[in-house]
Amino acid sequence: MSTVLKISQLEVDFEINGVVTNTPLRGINLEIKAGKTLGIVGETGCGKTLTATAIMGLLPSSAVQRGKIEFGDHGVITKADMADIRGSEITMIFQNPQSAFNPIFSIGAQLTMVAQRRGIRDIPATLTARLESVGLRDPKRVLESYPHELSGGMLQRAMIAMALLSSPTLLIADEPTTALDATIGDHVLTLIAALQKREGFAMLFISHDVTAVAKTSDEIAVIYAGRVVETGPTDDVMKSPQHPYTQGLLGAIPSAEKARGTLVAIPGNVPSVLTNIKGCAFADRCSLRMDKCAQEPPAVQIGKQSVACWAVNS
Amino acid sequence: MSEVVMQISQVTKVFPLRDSKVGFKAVDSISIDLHKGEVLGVVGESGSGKSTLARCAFGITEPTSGRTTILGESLVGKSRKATRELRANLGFVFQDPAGSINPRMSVHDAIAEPLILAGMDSASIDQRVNFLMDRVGLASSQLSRKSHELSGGQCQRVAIARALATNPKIVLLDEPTSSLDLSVQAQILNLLEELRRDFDLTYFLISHNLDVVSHLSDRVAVMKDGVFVEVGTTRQVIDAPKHPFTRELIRVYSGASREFDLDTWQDGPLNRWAFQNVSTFLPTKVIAASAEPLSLDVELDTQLDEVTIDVADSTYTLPELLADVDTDSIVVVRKGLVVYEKYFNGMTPDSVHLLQSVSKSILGALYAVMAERGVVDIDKPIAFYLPELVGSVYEAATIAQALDMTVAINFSEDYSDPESEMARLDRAAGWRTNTTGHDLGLRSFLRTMTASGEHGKAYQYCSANTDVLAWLISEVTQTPYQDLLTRYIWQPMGAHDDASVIVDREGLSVGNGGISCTTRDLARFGLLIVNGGRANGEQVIPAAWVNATFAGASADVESADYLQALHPGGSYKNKWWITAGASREIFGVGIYGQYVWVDPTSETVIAKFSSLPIPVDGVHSRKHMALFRAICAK
Amino acid sequence: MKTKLAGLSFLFKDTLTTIATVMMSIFIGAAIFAPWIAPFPKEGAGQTNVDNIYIGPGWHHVLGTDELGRDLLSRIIYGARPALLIALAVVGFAAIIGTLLGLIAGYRGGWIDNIIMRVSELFLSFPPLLLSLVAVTFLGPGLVNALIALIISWWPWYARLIRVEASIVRSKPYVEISAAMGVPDRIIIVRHILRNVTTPLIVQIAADLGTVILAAGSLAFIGLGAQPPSADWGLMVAQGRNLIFDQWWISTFSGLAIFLAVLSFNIIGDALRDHFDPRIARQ
Repeated sequence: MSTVLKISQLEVDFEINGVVTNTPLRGINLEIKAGKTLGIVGETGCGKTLTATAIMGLLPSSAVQRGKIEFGDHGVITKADMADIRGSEITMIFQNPQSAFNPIFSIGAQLTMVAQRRGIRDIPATLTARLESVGLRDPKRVLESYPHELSGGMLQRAMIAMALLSSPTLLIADEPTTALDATIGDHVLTLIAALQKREGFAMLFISHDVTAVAKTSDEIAVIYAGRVVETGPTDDVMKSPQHPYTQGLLGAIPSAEKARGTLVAIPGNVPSVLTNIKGCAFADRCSLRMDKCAQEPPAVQIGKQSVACWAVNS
Repeated sequence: MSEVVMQISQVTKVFPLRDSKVGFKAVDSISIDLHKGEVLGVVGESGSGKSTLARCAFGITEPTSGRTTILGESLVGKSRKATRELRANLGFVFQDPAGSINPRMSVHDAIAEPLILAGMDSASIDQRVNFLMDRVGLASSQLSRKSHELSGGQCQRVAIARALATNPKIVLLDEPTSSLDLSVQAQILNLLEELRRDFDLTYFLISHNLDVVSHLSDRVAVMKDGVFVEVGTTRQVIDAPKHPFTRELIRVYSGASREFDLDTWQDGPLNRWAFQNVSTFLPTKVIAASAEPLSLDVELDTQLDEVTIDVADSTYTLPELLADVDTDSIVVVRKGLVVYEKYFNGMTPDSVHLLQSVSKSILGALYAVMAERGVVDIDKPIAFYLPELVGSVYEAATIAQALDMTVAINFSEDYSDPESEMARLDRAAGWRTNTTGHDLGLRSFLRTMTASGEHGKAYQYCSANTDVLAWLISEVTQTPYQDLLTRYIWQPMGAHDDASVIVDREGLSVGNGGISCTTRDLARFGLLIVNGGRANGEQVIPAAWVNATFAGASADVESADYLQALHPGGSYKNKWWITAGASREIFGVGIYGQYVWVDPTSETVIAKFSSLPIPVDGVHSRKHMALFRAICAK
Repeated sequence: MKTKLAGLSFLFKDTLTTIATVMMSIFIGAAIFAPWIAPFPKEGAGQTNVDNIYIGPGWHHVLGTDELGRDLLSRIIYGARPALLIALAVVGFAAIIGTLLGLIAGYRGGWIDNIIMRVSELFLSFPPLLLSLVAVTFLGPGLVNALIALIISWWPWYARLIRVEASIVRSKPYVEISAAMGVPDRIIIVRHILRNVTTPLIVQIAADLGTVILAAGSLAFIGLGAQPPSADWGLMVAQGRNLIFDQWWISTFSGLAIFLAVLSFNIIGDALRDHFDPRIARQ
């Protein structure tokens, strides 16, 4: 199984006048295989969206990036390389479909612009087929419509169609169903799964919703304070989470089966500024804290899972 | 039963719409009681009206009609002071944590606001504020802070402290944790439970998140389009949901994998999505709609919802039975008027749904037209028109025998056996993954079918027969099957929307079950039959054929046990089932619960789609019969 | 006190802003302390000195003298008074009236909102100068009447600004909750709405001060402002209008005074807006 994307020790600092103000990514290691889905789950500020931004080569000029990103046949890619790859071999869909479309152009006009940039021939037929493939039954009407004339679910599908126009190798989905009603979001997830089966793209699925990530991903990576704390096959991680943070996260999911008042509530807060963190960032919230946690724990393989925690790995 | 602290009686809220006289009914005559100490959870999607309902009940918005009483008193028609005292029994926690606090006010002042209103003196206020801060887990050093200096979780704790300031009896929690991270949400949910116990509070909880609602609530009300579609204890609703929307919601939140599998899309749960979206994963061709669709006037019979049906040792109301058979949509047309129309599982009047074997009945109608025009002679063997089938079962089998399913063929229609000919047929058609390398396409598969005896003697349902007929007619006319359907059935019938048919890798239509159309268009097709083959004043299908079909199979055809078990005395002809008895019905059926049911006696047509988890089941079939007959009898 | 002063540090954030702050301080100082800083206070106030007419800028009269022999520098210093007075009075009253009406319109909505907005549109549809002319026709010329005319023209801007801001604040959850608790409307308007519209209000006021000075100058130029013999920059520009080629200093320096005053107020206004903007964005 070939690897489509491999991220090694990705670190990102934000600097002002040479002084580091924050280090939102402190060492991300990820791997996505062809045709498979890797789900990234984490809470606000953990760095999951920033990882996607870094992959796309869209970090602001105040960001300093270290580490390696290898993509498909290209090998190691730089920010400059991304200008060509972005939008063709790696595409992205977002939480808010309104933000993917320019409100003053019709959907058809925007899709045509994308198709022209990709050098696609016979654009009208391609667009029609693409829109049908995402379940939009009246492609002609959708192409003529403006973004505000379509419902949230339809616009989301149009955005997916736009992202798949270039037959990308990797699709990055950043909270694609968070803004949709649960039942419509579920349909969108199934649609994406069907399209993935048919067209074979790999996917990076980012969400704060653990359940959504579990539904769609072959593998899960849990990110805390800019580092991957646990990764492994979805079923394994969901059934036997190893890292205390993952356990806390899963224990926090409410359900009718859990007695009231017993949800796992990890004490404390995510550290706000991630510069100069010594050792494990989760230590001060962790019930398994030891002296050794003053050193950053390395990621160690346990079966099919990889965990960065001294308590598990000592 | 503990005392009622809030009584909501037939509350309705209509919002005026600019260009419409009718307005938008956000809440439609809802009544429910809130009991002391309970947590009532209202779950629904955006636009369901749950927030509007809460605002009407808690005196924030005035309802268009209906009334609410709080602790036995109404908020209306009181002096300002009395209203204020009554309102002191209520507390509010809303979704936006930072937005719930005046950004210019300190935490202390925000919590103190209701106490100042109540006329408390400054020293008592300070004491109470400190007490509340402690109870919600905030340090007193936070008192001087402003909202932009606090995290989301901390802001929400301040909001909770303020809500509890005047010792309320009832607290409205409107999406209290929807803007919070998972771990913070857990903290707040734990806190809410702790406070409820300590202060003997009653909660009116609203959330779109079923997990949150089911975790915290004693009772759950599921809201959709302004009404409660289901109310019960949490365990009742979660373990034994009755309404299709509730079941859909539970399924969505169940966390089951959404991995798409070409081998399992027909079964539940994937079929609930897949049946409405076949064109996204299988190649399809369009069957075009008519330029002048047959209009269907609507005159809803509201009493149909009250019809009760006794079947399979239970009694159901009509909606309950529809939910029980995983109905996706149903349209009932009586004497030319739509009297009942419901959509579930995300379907709308514009949604298309896979017909499965009801597609066969459409092929039957096409052959009626083709035969009458003399395009084919149905008594000729199939190989007469398709010479490449010489040497197969279709060398001797006639078109008529294929139409009546009396071809003696070595074919097992077992849907669950991956080695059956049916499974092979699905693989050939591209409906299942084909890793064998054989049967790549319907044509090559059909050539391999062999005879098992003499044709025309006994009824044997076999899907391959329909596919070969679809191939035949398109070959003879040198016209694709979908175009034939468009020209001779779909457009003349006055279809409103395009339909589609799945094709195999060679472009040959999967006639045995590949058509998808809207529910109303399926009803229009049924109308064609009930009207003796006429539509829009034209004779679309020959009347003689309709009558002959209705007469059923000839007596010397041996019927099958399974058919007789369901319809004693019934038979199969021209791709339709006909029941026996004084008032005969004629219907087309597809696996997983697709039906077009025609009852000429009551002039009723029922088009119904489902996504049952398994393809066939005797109990389900009986339930459907009972369902349809009960509707027609009304 | 220290934190309050530190809060003003934005006024010195860069060279341009610092210069503007200094200039504005000079104008304010000039207006307040005119009798003590003007070299020829009596002439500044209006006393003529016919022997000294049309003296060009030089040692004795730094900016020269005008057509009635009055020291121009003193006149300009005294001219800061009506300028500042008009600016503060117009903006002050317009802001008070406009804010009051805007709050009510924005919070109540409905027919009150309609009436207030339609009335404000009525006033807005008059060109300010025309409105002032009409006012003067009825009221007669003079500083006070110019003031009234300008206030009438200006309040609708504030009403509209505050109305929009108020209706945004009104839909915030904390307002909804206050109302649900039973807090009376008038308290909600002051405690919640007003306190949260002050920022855009202050920014608007700062920006307007400069504009009003310009408007007042225009009115004075056509004779609708302060009347002779009082010192008023616009009036002085008008008086030197026909002498622009020979006794150029009269109109020029008076005009320069207007220019510098307006410029410095505008720059301060920008600085104020930039100072508050990130906070607005954060809210």
